[in-house]
Amino acid sequence: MSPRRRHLWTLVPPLLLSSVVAGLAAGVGHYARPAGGLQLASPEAKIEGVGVRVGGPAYPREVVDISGRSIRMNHPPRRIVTQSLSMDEFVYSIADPRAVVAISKYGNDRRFSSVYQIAQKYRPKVGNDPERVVSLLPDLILVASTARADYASLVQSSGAATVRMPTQFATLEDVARTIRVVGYLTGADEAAAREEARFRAEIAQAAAMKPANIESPRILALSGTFGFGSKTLIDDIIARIGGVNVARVAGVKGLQDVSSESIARWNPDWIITGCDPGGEDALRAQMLRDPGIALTRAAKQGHILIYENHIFEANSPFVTSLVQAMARSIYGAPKTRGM
Amino acid sequence: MAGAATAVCGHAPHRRRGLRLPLFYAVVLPLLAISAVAAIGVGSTHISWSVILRVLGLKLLPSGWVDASALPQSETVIVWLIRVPRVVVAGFVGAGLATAGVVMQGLFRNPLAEPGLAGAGSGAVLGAVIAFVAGWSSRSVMSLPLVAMLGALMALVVVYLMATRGGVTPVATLLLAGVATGSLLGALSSLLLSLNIVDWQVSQEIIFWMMGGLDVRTWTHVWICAPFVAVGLLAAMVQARDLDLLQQGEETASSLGVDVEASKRMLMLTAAVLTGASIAVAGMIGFVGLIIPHAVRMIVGPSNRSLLPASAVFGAAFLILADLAARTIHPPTEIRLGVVTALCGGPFFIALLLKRRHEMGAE
Repeated sequence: MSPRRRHLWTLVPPLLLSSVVAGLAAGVGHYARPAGGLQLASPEAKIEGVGVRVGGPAYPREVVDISGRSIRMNHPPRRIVTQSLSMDEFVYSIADPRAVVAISKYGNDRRFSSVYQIAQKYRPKVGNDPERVVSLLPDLILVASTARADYASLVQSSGAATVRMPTQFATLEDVARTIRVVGYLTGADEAAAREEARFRAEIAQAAAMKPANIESPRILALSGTFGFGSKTLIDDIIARIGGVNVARVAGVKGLQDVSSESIARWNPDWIITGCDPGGEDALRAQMLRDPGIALTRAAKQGHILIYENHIFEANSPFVTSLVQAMARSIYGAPKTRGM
Repeated sequence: MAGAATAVCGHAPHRRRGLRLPLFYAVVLPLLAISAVAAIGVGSTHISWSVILRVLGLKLLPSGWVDASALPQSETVIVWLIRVPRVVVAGFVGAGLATAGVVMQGLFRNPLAEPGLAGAGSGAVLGAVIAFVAGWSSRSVMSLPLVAMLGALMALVVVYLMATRGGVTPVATLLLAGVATGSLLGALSSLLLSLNIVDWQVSQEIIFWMMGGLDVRTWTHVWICAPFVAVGLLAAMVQARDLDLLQQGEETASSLGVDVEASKRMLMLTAAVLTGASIAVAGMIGFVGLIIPHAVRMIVGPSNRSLLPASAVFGAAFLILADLAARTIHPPTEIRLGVVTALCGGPFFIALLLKRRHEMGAE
């Protein structure tokens, strides 16, 4: 290598280093920008438990979202965008549906969504294409806490209040609190209070269905081959209606793959799962072909409960449909929901 | 390998090549400009050309030349923060992958070599998967591309250390170490994906990222990849002569004054930087580094001094067009960019193989 070319090579490492520094500086600069919000003036008003804190009732309203960003809203939102199925369902259960200008693609999918019919009626835009979202001139965008940071950053550049929200809940109490937070964000506080009251009443009603003199039913909830253990919403539902989650007892945490052998050993009284609309019979037959499931009391006594996925997988106020349906099925009240 | 070397070098007469290069740029540079303009002009929402031009003027021309008062913020955001960075990233990634492909094919003297061969691609994927699984990707715009880049560079170091003995790095050993490390890192990525498949939001993000795509690309992504790609292109050009000589064999190159081991080291680093920077911001995009060098070599000839810049320009134009196709073929759903490049590259590669078989039959 000639000395001149060797000299050229010495430039490469500092150039690469400087490009790394430039990239980091760009990122730091991006995050150093003020988010358009303030520290909460009234931190005592925060709602604990869902990772989001809200301020006082007067406008401008202030909120610190799950990522720790503080956001200010000067007036009640008139054009709301929701970017996760859970938030679609929260917002439609509380806010004026005409104010919802875009929802997630799952919110418009009847297999998963409890608000599919409302979405069909009001026809919001569907999907998370940032260009479409920005072109709708939203003033509130609710983004899932798990969404990519670059997406949140991009839609936030539209100037809309962009709030990262929890979309996975471990307890029904978290859902109730989130109803209040979404009411605060959408300016529909009264509707949220009514919805929270309905929610709590239906849970209490379901919990009261268990006769005092019976043993707690042993329940297994499955999503495919995955069992719902502790720290899942279904675990809390099972506890609320007076059941025992056999997966939790066996030490399953969160959603974990469970073998046929384990299911046979746990021998639940009831098995609960979800399916697409119209898929109940096929799924039941498929489950009964599994030797582990076939051995259980649940299978022998016809205690396999299959609900449509939009009920079974709900992470929103609509989860009360599942709570009530499970309580009715297990404790013998007439079955009016589920399949 | 000798046959492979012939395939890389080609045989076309020099005089015809002399005419082909200006002709190539006369076609490809306007193509690059037109594709960039089209990609900025076309999106999921309609924005008139006058607004697009005013936004571009507002951002690119000196302050006060364009009246900003009548421009809606939403359209400024769409053009300047959504469309333009996407096109710029596509250009840099296309140029980076195509150049990395030229370097790898020259270094390995193998027309089937592609940018990910030295493990950098798999390293970048593993880095990205870790960023998704750990939740970093949802906390910081920088985390995903930087961790992917780090993964690419670490994979390169591992491959290089495995293949080097006594300061000598045989190309064949490098190739094997790259393939083995790539497979291992790929398996680790799959393991992490399978362990986290229950979190469907995260697993969907990972799968989409593995299929490559340029949706939601911001100026931050431009600042992350552009310096690396620019430095990589510059480094590749500086080494073009060494690469030409290495294709004649290491002994020949050494006898002509090339410090073979140092050159190989720098070429590897160059290819890895280009590949890592590209994959870090765009995910896995296959075939660009394989077919663009082939296609351009057929036109401009085997000399790397011509081939490297020509491939970079053509790669940029190709990826901008492929991305435009990805977002307009099936609206409103975007087809993943890696799928589009594979759908273009696969048939091209098969045609190339059939042509070669036909030529061999004729001989």
